[in-house]
Amino acid sequence: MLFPTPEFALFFCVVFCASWAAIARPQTRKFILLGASYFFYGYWDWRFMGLLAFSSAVNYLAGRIIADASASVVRRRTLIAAIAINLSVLAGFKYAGFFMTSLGDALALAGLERDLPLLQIVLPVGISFFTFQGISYVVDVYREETPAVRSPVDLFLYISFFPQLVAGPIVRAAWFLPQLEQAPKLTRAALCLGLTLILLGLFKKMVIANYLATELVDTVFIDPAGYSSLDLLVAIYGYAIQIYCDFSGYSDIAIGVAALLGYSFHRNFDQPYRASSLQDFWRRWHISLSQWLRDYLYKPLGGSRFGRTSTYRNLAITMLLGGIWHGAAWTFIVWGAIHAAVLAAERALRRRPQSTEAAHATIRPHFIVSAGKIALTFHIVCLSWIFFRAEDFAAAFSYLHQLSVLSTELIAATPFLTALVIASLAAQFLPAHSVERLSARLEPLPVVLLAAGFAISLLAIDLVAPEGMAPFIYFQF
Amino acid sequence: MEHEKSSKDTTSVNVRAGIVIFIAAGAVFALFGSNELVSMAYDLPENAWTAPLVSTAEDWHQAMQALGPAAAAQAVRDAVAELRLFGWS
Repeated sequence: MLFPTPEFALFFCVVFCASWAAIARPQTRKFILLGASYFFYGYWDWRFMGLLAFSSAVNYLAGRIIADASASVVRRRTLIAAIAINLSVLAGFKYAGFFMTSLGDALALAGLERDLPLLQIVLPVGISFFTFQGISYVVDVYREETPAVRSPVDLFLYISFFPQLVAGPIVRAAWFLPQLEQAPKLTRAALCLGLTLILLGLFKKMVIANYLATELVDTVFIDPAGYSSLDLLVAIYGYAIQIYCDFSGYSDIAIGVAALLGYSFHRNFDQPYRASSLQDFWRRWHISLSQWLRDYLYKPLGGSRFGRTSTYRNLAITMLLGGIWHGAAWTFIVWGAIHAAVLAAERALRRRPQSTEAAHATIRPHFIVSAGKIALTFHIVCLSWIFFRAEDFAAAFSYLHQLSVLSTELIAATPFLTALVIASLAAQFLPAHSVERLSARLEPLPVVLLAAGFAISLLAIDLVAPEGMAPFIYFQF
Repeated sequence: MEHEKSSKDTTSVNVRAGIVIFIAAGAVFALFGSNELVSMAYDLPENAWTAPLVSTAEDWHQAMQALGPAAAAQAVRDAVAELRLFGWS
């Protein structure tokens, strides 16, 4: 059940009414939300509801054992076992096929060709997201940063809560579980913010991402040799916008839907293409994943505490694993490697001693310097997106080769699509927190006006959007 | 206690507002998106329960065509389609 569908609209209306009807009975409300979440997940493939329940049960039991055990060895072993089980499930479904194919290729290269079994395993939607949430809960309980929950319903709901279940944001237990303890409430601010985010997310996904995917990016990436360099350049800018609108659109809807049910999620994107460095980019792009990787991988590895070499190693490990988290393919590893290399280079450049004048200049950089940094960062990100989007290395290098030909005839990048790319890039430079400010302005309006505004905006999105819908990119992760 | 009651009252008001907003959105969609209602009805599995839904959706769409909303929606779609067809020369 995809967010921008009538099925989801109907499902959500039922859940909204049923959950708020049970406002006086918090436990019943949790059961309603839990049942709705499993229905939502089972709508894709009911067989994986058991996997979701298994993952939740493992993390619930691990949390209880860690909290109740007094011996540190028991706590530590339970933590290791829980992480191992979580990662084994993820690895089994997501990476077994990739491992067998890579092993077969390596054996063939060494002249030891073997007929290895071809594994075609169906990937349970959202497995990367709920696995990471489960791990964060167990680790937080171990670190005593969050108490272990007594009620299994709370933990099962935390892992499976439908707005964030299949494509994030990766919600931390420490943010979400305390909200389950409080009496649910729907403020006018949450109502207006939720509706605004849902509209914004639908516009990003149904209009911008769908047009760019179906009419520009997919066409050009299938046969880059058939298009000019300028077409390819607009298409890669288009992909940068498509993946942003696709994923941040999903996050906006998820945060909006959660707000309407009375829960607050942190923002997952913050105008990432206005970043002036790759470090800045990762503070703005898929914030819940970058913070997860920082807190549960980079810092436990030592972070930047043990000298330059170990910092670079930790950075490389984090970004390479971040790359492969996105998908079991070498192209994702190269995507991670590009980010790791540039992040390391930025760190190395920052460490150089500066003269007083240079240090002063960094306080308030000239507009042209800032614009140059933003443009450079954006193009590095776009270069990495080529590997992220390409089916394999051959396709990525074919794309890069055709870009270098410097031909200028525009075929695929029509004025409509080019304008869509330019307008979307320009929107990255709107004042910060524009959505929150817009929603605050809606709060005093009478309900009739809000209803008319929401209904007309929804209709406009539906009329302007192309027929059909490209699948959400992050569902495959 | 007083604060909790006031919070519940506010929540009830906002939930009712939410329901009004959803009903308005559904009504506008039914008026202007009647052709999509027909598509959705045809997508349902064929059986005795869904057959009346298909004919109702078709009747509704015809009514909306006669009244104007369906034609207005189609005019917007056509305008967007024309915009997409513009070329560089």
